Amino acid sequence: MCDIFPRGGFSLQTIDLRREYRLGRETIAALGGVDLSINKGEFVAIMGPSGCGKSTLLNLLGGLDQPTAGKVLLDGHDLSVYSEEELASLRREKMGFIFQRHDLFPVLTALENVEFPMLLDKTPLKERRRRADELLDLVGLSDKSGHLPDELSGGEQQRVGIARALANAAQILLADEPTGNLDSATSAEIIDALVALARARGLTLVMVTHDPEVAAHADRILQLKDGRLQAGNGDSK
Amino acid sequence: MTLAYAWRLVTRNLRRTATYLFGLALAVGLFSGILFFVDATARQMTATALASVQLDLVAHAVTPNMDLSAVVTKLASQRGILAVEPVTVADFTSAVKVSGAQPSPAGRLFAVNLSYFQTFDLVQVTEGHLDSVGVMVCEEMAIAQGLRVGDTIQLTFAGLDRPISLPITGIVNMSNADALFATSTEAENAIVANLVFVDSGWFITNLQPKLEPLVSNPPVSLPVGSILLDQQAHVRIDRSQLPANPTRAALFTAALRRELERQFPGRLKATDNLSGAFRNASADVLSAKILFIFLGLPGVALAAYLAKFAAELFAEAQRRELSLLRTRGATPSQMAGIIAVTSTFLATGGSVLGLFFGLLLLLVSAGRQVGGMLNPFAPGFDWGLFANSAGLAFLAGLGLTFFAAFIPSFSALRSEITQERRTARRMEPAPFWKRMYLDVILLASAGIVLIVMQLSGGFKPSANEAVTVQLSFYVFLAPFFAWVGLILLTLRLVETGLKASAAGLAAGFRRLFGEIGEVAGKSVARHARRISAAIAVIALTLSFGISLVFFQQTYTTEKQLDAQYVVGSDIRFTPALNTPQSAEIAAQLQVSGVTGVTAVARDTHVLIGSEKDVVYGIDVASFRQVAYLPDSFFVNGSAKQTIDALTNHTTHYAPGSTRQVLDALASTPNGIIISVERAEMYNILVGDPLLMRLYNRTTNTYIDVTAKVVGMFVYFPTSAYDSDFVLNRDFMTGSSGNPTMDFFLLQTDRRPGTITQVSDALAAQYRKIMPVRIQNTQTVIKAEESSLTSLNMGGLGRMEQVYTVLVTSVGLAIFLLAMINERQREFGAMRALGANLGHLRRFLFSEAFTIGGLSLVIGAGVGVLLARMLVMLLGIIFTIPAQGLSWPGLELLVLAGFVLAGMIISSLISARRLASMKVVEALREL
Repeated sequence: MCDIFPRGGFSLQTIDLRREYRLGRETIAALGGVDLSINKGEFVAIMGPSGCGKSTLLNLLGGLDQPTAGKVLLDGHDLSVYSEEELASLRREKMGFIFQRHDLFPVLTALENVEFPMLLDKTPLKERRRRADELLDLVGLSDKSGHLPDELSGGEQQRVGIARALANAAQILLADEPTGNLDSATSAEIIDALVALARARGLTLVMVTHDPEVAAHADRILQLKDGRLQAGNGDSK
Repeated sequence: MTLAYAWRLVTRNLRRTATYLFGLALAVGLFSGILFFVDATARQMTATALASVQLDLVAHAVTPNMDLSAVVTKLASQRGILAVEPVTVADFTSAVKVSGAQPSPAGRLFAVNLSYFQTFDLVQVTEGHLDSVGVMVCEEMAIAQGLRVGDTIQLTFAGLDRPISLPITGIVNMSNADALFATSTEAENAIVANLVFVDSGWFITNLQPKLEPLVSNPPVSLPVGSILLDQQAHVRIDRSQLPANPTRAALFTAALRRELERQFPGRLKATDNLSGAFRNASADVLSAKILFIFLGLPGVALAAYLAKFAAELFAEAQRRELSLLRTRGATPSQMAGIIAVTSTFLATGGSVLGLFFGLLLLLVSAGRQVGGMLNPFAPGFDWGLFANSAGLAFLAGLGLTFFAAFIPSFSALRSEITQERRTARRMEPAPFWKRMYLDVILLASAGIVLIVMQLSGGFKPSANEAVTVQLSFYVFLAPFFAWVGLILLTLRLVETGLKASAAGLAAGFRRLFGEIGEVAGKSVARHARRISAAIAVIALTLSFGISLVFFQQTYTTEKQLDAQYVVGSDIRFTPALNTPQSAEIAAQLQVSGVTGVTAVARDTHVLIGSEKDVVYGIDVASFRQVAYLPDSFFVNGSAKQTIDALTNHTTHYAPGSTRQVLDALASTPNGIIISVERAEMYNILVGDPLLMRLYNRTTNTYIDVTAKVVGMFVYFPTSAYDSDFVLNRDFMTGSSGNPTMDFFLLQTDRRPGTITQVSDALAAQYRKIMPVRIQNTQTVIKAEESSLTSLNMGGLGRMEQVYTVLVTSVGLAIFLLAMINERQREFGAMRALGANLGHLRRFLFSEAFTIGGLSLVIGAGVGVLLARMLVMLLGIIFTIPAQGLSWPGLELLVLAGFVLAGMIISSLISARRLASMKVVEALREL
C-alpha cells in the first residue's frame, strides 16, 4: 500500500466531559460527564440509542463544539485553550472527518473534493493533484475523478469522502455513521476500506455507528446511554 | 387550531418571516409610493392648471332688470362659493378725449365695485385708482389716444343722445383679462380692445336708468354684436373643495354651475372657465400617470421578484414542516387551511407595512414637492383618492403573496409525502423562454416597433400648440419589449458566460481571494443559473435607476432650454405699451448679475403680401451674445437639400449654423432671415428679395421696403408662436420711423438665484417709474407646470433612486443570505474540514463581487441604452426636440456611491450571518 502519510495517530482523552443545551426554559444534558481515553492507532466504535449523545461526543472530540464542562485532550493538549481559528487549523492538518451524508461539495468534482483540504493548506497545485489522484486510486475511484457527486453512487460518494478525510496528514479520523445511508453490501466494502487504510497508517479511528456488524471491526466498543458511558467502557483495553 | 398553528408558523422563525415581509413591503411600498406620487402630482397639476384661470364662473342675467345685488347676495351664500362681485357691462360706440382730435373706436365699459380688483386678479391697475366719479382706461386706449390721468374722456352710447364725460383717474393693464369677455352666448364672445372701468355705484345712479329702457327696444344705431346692457355676477369658488382628479373636479364645477342657475331658474345663465383647464389637465394628468407608472413599474416588478424569491425561501421551509404534519395525520383540508391562513397573515402584514413604507418613502424623497398634499388633516384632502390608491397597492400585495407563497405551498400538497420529506433535487429542463428564444424575439420586436414608429413619423404632439400633449401606452411598447428582452438576454448571456469561464474564474478569484477563491470561482460557474438570476434582477434595477437619472437630467435640461427659447434668454424685460422705451435704456438694465442686454424691436402690423405679419428687428452683435441660439435652430438655406425639402414639403433640411446665418444678416443692412414655414409658403429662397410694407408712425402711412433673404431658421428665440421674419433692427426702425423697442433680453451669470435676484431688482427699480412685465425662465417653467412638458420629475426620480439603492442592496443581501441558508451544510463541512471564518468570508465576498460587479457594469450599459430610447421617444414633446442625453455626473456618482455602499453593507451583514452559524447545527441532519 502506498505510504503517503507518516504513520502514527493521536491519543484522545476526555475528563468529565459535559454538554448541555438550552431549549426554551429547559436545560437538556446531552452528555453528563464522560471520561474516556483512546490510544493512538486504536479503532473505537461508539454505539447507543438515538439521542444518547453519540454525535455530540464525536463533535466535541473533533473540536467542532465546545463542552459546557470538562476537557478534551488531544495528544495531551487541552482543546479548550485553542481559539476557533486554531481549532480549524488543527482539523485541517491533523483530523479527517467522514460524515454520514458524505457532504461532498456538489459543485466540485470527486478530484476537487479530495483536493479541498490540501487547497486550504496551500499545497501547490501539482502536488495536491498528485496526492488526490493517489487517494482516489486508493479507494478505487480513479476512473471517476472528473465526476460530480450527483453522478456517483452512494458508496462511491462515501469513498470520495474517505479519500478527502485522508487528504492532509490526518492523524485521527472521526466518522459519524459513515455507512448510515448505504446498503449492507456497500457498507461492508466501505468499512473494510476505511479500517484497512486506518490500520495501515496507524491512524486513530473513532466511529459512531448503529450497526453492530460495523462495530464488530472495532478494537473497542463504547456504549453510550443518556449521555453517559456504560460502566467499564471508558478505558482502553 | 388552524389559526393558532398558522400564527406559530409565522412567529416561530422571525428571521424567515421578516425576510418575506420585508421583500413584500418593498414591492408594495414602491407601488403605493408611485400611486401616491401620481395622485399628488395630479393634484398639483390640476391646481397649477387652475392657477391660470382668473375667473371661475360668470353668471349672466338673461332677463332684463334683474336685481343684481340680490343675485350677488344669494349666490354668495351658496356652499363652495368664496366671493361674488357684481359686474355690469355696456358697450360704447366712441370714446374721445376732451380737447383731443384722435378718432375713437368703440369699446366696452365695465361697472364694478372697488373690491373687484382685490377679489379677482384679472386687471392690474398700473396708474391711479378707481373712484366713485371717475373712469379708468386700458393701456392700449391710453396710448392710442394719448390719454393720461387727469384728462377727461367722453363716452357715447348707442341710443343715448348725450355723451357721458368722466375724468380719467387711472390706467389698467388688461393682458390677463381675456376671461372678462366671456358672454352668455358664443356669438358674442369676442375680445374688445378698448376698455374702461367705472364705479358700480356711479353706474347704477347715472347710466343704468338710461340704458335699461333700451334693452327691450334696442336702438338701430347699436352695432351688430354689441352689448347694450349685460348684468353679470363674477364668482370665485372655494378651490380647496375641488377633488384632486380633474375629471371629478369638472363634474364638481358643473354641478356648482347648475346649482347657481337653479337659484334663479330661467333668469340666470352661468359660464364656466374652469372646464377648459380641467380638460387640459385631465389629458396631461393621464399622460403623466402613464409616464410615471411606466418609469416606476419596472422597479415594482423587480421588487416583486425579490418578494417572490423571499417567499420561496419561506415556502421551502414551510413545505418540510407541513409534510411532517401530514405524516402525523393532518388532513388535506387542515393543511390547506393552515397554508391559507399563513399566507393571509403574511400578505396582510407585508402589505400594511408596505403602505407605511410607501408613504414614508414618498415623504422622504418628494416631501417638499408633495408633502402638503399627503396631510390627511388638511382641508380638501381627498380620502377617496387616497383609499383608492392604498387599496390598489394592498390588493397587489395580496395578489403577490397568493402567487408567490400560497400557490406553490398549496400545489405541494399534491406531492408524495416522502418526496416532500426529502430535500428534493430536481433536474429541471431549460425554461420555456430560453428554448423559444423569447429574448431575441422581444428585442427584435422592440427594434421593429421603433423602426415602424420612426417611419410613420414617430410620436408627434399636435401641431396646435393649444392642444395638450397626450401620451399613449403605444409609445412605451418598444422600451417595454426592450426591457423584458434585455432581462432575458442578460440571464442567458451571463449564465452561458459564467458556465464557460469556470477555469478563468477559478484562477482569477484565486488571485483576488486567496486559495478559497479557486473553489469560489468554480462554485460561481456551476451555480450560474442562480447567480445570473441575481445579476439580472440587480442589474435591471440599477439600469432603471440609472436610466431615470439620465432621463430626469435630460428632461430638466430640455425644460430649461425650452424656457430659454420662449423667453429668448434668461430674462425678458417688457415695458408697458404706454411707456415706450428706446434702445438706450439697455445700459440701465445692466444691474449686478447681468452680463448682457439686447433690445428687440417688434412690429405687429407689417404687411407681407396680403397678410399682416409680425416682424422682429435685432441688433445682431448684442443679440448673438445674449440670446439662446443653438445651431439646431438654423438650416443651410442655400443647400440643395434644403431647397429640395422646401419644394417637396418635407422637413429634411440641410443643417445650418448660427454663425453663418447671423453673419449674413449682420453684413447685409437690408437682410432678412425667415422661417422655413414661410419660405415654403411663399416659395422664397435665400437670395430672393422680399417686399414688405411697414407702418411709419411719423407719416402715418405704409411704406414699401425691400429686404433680401439671407438665411432661414426652424426656431427663433422668443418667437414660440408668432415670428417668421427677422430684420436688422436699425434698418427696421429707420424704415418705420419708430425707435421704440418692444422688449429687452437680459443674460445673467447663471449662478443659482441670480435670475430671480435680477428680476426682483428690476421689478423694484421700475415699480414707481413705469409699468413693466418681467418674465424669466423660472416663471415660464412654473407657469407651464400643469403640462407634460414641465413635470417636476424630481420627486419621482428621488424615490426611484432610493429604491434603486434599497433593492440592489437588499436584493444582494437576500441572495447571499439565501445562499448561506441553502448551503449551510456545505459551509459546515468546510469548517469541519478546516476552513476558517476568513475562508468562508472570502468565499461569500467572491460571490458578492461577481453579482455586484457584473450588475454594475450591465446595469450601467442597459441604463444608458434605455435612457437613450426614452429620450428618443419622448424628447419630441418639447418645443426644441431633445438632441441627446444630458449627463448627470454628480447624480450618477452619488447613486453609484450609495449602491456600492449598500452592496458592501449587505455583504458584511451576510458575513455576520456566516460568523454566527454554528458548525454543529449546520451539520445536523434535519
